[in-house]
Amino acid sequence: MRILLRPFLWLIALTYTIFSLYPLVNLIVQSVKPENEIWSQPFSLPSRWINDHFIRVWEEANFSLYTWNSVKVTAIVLVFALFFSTVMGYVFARMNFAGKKLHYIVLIGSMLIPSSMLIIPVYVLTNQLHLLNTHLGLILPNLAGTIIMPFILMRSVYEAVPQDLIDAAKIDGCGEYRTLFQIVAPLGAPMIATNGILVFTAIWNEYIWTQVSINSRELFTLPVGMANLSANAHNVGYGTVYAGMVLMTFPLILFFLFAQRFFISAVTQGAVKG
Amino acid sequence: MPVRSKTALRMRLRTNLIAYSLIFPGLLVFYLFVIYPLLQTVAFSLYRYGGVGSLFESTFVGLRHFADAFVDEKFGRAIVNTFYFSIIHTLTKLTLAFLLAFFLYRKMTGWKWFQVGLYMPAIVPIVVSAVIWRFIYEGNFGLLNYLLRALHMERFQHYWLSEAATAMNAVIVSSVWFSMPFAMLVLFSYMLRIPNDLLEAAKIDGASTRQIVAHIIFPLMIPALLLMSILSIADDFKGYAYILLFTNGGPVGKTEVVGLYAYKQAFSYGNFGYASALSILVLAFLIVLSLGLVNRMKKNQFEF
Amino acid sequence: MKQKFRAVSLIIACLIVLAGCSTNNAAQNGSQAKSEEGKQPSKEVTLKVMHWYSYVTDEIFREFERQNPGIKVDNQYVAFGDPYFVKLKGLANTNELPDIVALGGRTEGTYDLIAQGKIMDLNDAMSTPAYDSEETWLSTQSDVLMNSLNSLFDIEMDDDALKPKNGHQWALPFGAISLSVIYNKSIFEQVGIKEPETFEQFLENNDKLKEAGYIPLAHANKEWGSWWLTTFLDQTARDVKTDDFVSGKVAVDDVRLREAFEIWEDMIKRGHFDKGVVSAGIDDAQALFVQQKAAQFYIVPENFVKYLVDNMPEGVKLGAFVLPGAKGLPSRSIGGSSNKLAVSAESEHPEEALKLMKFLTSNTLFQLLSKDNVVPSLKGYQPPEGDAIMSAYAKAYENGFAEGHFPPFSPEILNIDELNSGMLIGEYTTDDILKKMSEAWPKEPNNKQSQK
Repeated sequence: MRILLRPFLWLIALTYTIFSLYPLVNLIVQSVKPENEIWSQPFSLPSRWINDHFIRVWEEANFSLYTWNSVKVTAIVLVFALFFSTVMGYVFARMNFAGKKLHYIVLIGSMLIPSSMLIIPVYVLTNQLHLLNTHLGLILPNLAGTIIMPFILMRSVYEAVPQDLIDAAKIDGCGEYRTLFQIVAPLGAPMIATNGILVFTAIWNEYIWTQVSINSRELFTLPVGMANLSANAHNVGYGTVYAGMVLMTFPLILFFLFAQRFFISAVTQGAVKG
Repeated sequence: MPVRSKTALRMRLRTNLIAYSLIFPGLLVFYLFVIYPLLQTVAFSLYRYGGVGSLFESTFVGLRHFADAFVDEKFGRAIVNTFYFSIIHTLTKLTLAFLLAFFLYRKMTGWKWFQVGLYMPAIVPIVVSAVIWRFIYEGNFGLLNYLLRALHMERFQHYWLSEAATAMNAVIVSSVWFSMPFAMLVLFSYMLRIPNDLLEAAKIDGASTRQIVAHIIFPLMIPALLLMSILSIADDFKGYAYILLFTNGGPVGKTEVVGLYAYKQAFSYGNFGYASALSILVLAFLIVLSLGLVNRMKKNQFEF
Repeated sequence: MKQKFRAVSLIIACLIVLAGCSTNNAAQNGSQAKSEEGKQPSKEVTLKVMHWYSYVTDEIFREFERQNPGIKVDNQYVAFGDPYFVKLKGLANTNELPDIVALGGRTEGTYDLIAQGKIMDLNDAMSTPAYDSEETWLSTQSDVLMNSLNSLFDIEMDDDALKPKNGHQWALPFGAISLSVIYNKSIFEQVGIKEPETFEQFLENNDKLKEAGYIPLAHANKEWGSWWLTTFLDQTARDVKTDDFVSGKVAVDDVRLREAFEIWEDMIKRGHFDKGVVSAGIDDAQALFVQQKAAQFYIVPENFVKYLVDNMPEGVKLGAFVLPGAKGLPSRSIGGSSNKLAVSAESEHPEEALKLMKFLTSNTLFQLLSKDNVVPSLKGYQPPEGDAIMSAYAKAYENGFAEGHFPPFSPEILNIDELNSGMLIGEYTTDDILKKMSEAWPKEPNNKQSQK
């Protein structure tokens, strides 16, 4: 049985990876093609490779500015979202305090409402806080929205941490705070990395709220710049649009490679001994 | 029963203080920007509101929206579509995720590269996925039909997105494509927490890989699988963005899921109140569903 | 461990400072602008324009600024889509509506905005001179488009006192949707057909194209689904006005409507469209056309035509003709009154805003836009010299614009795009459609009669 299982899995993984990568590869290929070939031969390789589209999108379409804005907003939300969700996950998993059940139900329940329903109330609230058309007005609602899922995942990870580990740390003289930061947080490393990837992707690609709340071009992030560019595709050319999409995807891939480190170290270290 | 001595009380107070000091900022942001707007959405569902002006100046209709939802045949159709979509989507996705997480877990050759490649679909922005998949499924020059022709399987060609029978399945395939990676990562993270000693012991006892998977790994993963099922189903009922870009409800509503229907009611037809009511109904249903599953999960908690 | 902790807290502190800075900047810029305006008694005025027309670029507004020193324009182009209207409603709710906005239809809150007094009544201004001529503003606008726009408002608005027929002008049409058929000359030569002069010839051409293995017509059903139906309705039911349905003069399943659906059904049955057309968007239709799989494309000019011309394979020429009237009547373009601009009633600079509005509906502007092949919503249109394709569009324009000939159903009661798609996949026959329409009409809120 063992002999058959390995190659079988390998084959599935390989097939699925090709299946996963193909559309992205296709996008990259489309973005280096001359414009007319994008339509006449969408699936073939280009007759010649051009980088005009990329140059155009970076300079003319202001993508350098948008990228910086995206990085800024995403990084800030990422740090706080991971921090809050991890801490809250631990507290909800291992501590008992007044109102815990209530908060928990509210947290879970809120996840089940589509965010599109919340746009108008959030708009009014953000306006009352004078945060419309500011980056803080992007950060706070996005932060609120991306805490929940990581929180749920962290909580279930911490629920399964054996109590003896924590007791051992307490005996060694750690207070609650120290226990959290120094012992338990590293245990959740792969999950934190997963959450990081999730949050980063979600905020990086967030379009609707940004488009609705931001008016000044200097504050646009990549998705908004992308959408405005897309709607203008017949003027600037679809190649430019595709090049923009590739540029948008690239930092995400970089971030994933960075976060992968935590998986690798977790795998090579082996899991926690029971 | 808690001991009613002074020290016990002080201990409880101290715990509460520590807990709240840690979670307060997160909760604050959350309650302010999610719960407060959510409450307003509940208020919307009681009015006929178009999004402009003050809510209280629009007509109050009470529970009328909820009553309408029950006789709304498009809503019923959307629910049926969503069930079909969600069940097949979740099952396929989690099966593949489990297999591939296991693959990564066993550190099979080149797993690091595979992990990156396998995660790509989740990274690609939705707009891009929609465009690419539309071209793949396109009837005349699309890649899928092209491959079928190349493999001499011409008779399997279809106008995938235009035929009632194939449209929803096409949507499911591309949805699995971009939602599987995240599930795979989560399951992988869970698997990493399985203590090595258990596996070592089993191997020493002479268990085959298949037996290890079936009797050790899989049972330990059940809580994670249940959790991901709930999240997946919830997402399927909420989601609208991809289908909006991809088929916009499909050939005459065949791929219209609940999330999309509510979205259209709110933004295309301007019936914010009705859309809010629909969302609340779905929310209630999902709460019931997840409470049921969570209870089952509690029973399956395994201590390491 | 302690080091890590310190590093993390340092990073967090930096990020907080960064976040604070950006908020500060935005706030400062905001308050700076305001205080500047307050301080200087000079008439440096900034107007905000929110719209979704990608061809209305910064350069055009720079031209306006050159011609009107002292006025600056903040061009807020927002890609068309639901976020545009969410933003519009949000800005209206917070009393920050830009000076000039592009409006949508009923479901996008247009009539709510008017009812709440957020839109400026242009009625009096219409009798003042236009931007670049001595004639009145009103007289430079296309009659048909103005009538079409105003009568729709008359039908759909609730408050009688605010209706255009009682002396109000809430919005002006912007640009006209003029359609004609672009075709691939090489394919036509190869199949041996010519530009059709009658509708029967048009259908015969399509049959021949189909036999030769081409897709006769590329069609972007997702975005422009019901254009064909609307064109046919203008032929079969030309003298039926939207108002007639509301007043009960004409039944919704009138034989003239039936005819239009039958023509459409006939074309579908004869295979004049690709089988996968129901899910096709602009991208798909374009690709089919460029790959020379489809021979014709019923399309608006604007930048679409130019793009196609530029990207066809080497040596392929394109031509255009006006779609022959299905009932022999002169073929009219579908009206442009769905594109409309309005002025905010709460504008801080109403005079300047009016000036900009006049500019945007003036000959000057449309001349600037002519290189984008935008058809103006003004009286009389001169296409660029020697441009065969735009001449076809100009001819379509000459015949005037189609008005509405369909019962004013709200989209949630009955959606013409859905009916259209249903016919494309063979799910609905003409009888089904007419039956649906008669059953839905009594429930329609715009059907004021049934609610008496």
